[in-house]
Amino acid sequence: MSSRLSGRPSADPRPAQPPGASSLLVNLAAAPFVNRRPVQRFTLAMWILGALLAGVNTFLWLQYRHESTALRARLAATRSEIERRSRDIVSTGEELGRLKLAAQNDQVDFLNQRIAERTFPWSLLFERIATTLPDGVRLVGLNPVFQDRGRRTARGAPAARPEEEMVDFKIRGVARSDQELYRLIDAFFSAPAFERPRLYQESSAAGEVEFTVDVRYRPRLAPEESHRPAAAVDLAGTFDLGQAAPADAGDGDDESAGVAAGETAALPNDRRGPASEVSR
Amino acid sequence: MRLSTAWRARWWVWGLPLAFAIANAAILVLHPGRTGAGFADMERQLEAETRELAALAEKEETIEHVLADARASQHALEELYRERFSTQEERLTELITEVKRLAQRAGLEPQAISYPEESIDEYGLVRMSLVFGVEGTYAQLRTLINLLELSDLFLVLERVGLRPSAASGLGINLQVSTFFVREPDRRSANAPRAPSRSSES
Repeated sequence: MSSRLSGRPSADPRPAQPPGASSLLVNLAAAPFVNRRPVQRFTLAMWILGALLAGVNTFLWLQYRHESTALRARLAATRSEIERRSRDIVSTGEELGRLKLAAQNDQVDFLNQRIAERTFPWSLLFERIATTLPDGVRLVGLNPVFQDRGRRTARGAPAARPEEEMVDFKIRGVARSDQELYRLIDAFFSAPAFERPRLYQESSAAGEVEFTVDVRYRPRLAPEESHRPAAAVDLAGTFDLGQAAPADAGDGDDESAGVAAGETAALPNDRRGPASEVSR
Repeated sequence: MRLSTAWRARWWVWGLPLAFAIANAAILVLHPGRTGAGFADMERQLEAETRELAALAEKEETIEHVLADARASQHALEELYRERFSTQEERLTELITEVKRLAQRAGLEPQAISYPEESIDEYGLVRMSLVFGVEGTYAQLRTLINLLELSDLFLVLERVGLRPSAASGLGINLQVSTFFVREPDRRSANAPRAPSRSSES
């Protein structure tokens, strides 16, 4: 019989549960309900988030690897190109060394100067001198002094333009009087094709004045720039030496020249070159 | 209380995916591919080497330009020496004949010609001059000078001297020079001397 029926309090407050009893009779206090759904949802969300992030990371890693490989390849190609070009530069430099560039440049300068001499416009020079010489002056010698281009300009300096090219000339001649010689000097000063005439020597001989003049000449100056009609003289008369005194006549004491040595030296220095020798 | 019990009961069930997500998030944040930190060094290196390459390319171009110029000069020199100067053996008599022919065309007749020589060892050349005097007029002198200017031979008019002449009005002294390639010693030693040639070195 049960204790409830007997009216005595039972030591076990819970009634004895016979085997095979219904779940309705489960004691919830002994096995309380636990809501696991938030945990399950959170777990699922974390797995999904983790998987997404893993996917993104995998993509980024692959991309990184690809870019890194490409960059390394470019770097390697650049280094290889640097090495190749360095080798090329060395071999080209060696080849240049074999060509003895400095010696070749000297040789080219030398030969260019000779070619410039070869192409020197002598006919034009004769025309210019003919238009520059005043009456009463005739020439007995023309001697160009070609200077080596390499000596005139430092290596690497820009070459002079053709119209600026200068040739030194030593001109020997005979004038009827020293005044005519000075007119020649003045004519050289005023002629664009000539520059810095320097009366090197003058001496009286057989009633005439023999002289030597150094003058710088621009052979490549355009012809029209040097043309001065006012100074034009007869070409034939310029070199008509048939009536002239011999150039090798002895020193004379001709007083008819009319200008003493002192007067020669008194010519304006800003127009004449220094007379290094004046002998009469 | 029950909720925390649920979280605590099997913590690894949710802790594992949480750690997985956090780890991936950390990787995402710190990944060098995203931050670019992994490329920065390489890109700097690449940039520096590209600059070096550009400088080398420019230098190489300059050197190749110089080399091309040097080769062209070398070629021009060889051609000039071969075609224009050549050796005395090849050109001497032709040259003398040409100068005399030009003088005759101008109506002038050289009476005596001297042939001073100067060896230019540095450039492997010999400068030979023809110094002669003629009697004529100014017009004939101009004609001769013009013919010398137009000649195909490498003739350099170096000096013109004029003197009065009773016979024709003008005595003209000319010095015309040309260049020959200096022959090797063994050849010059065996080479026959040019006829009627007086050497004044």
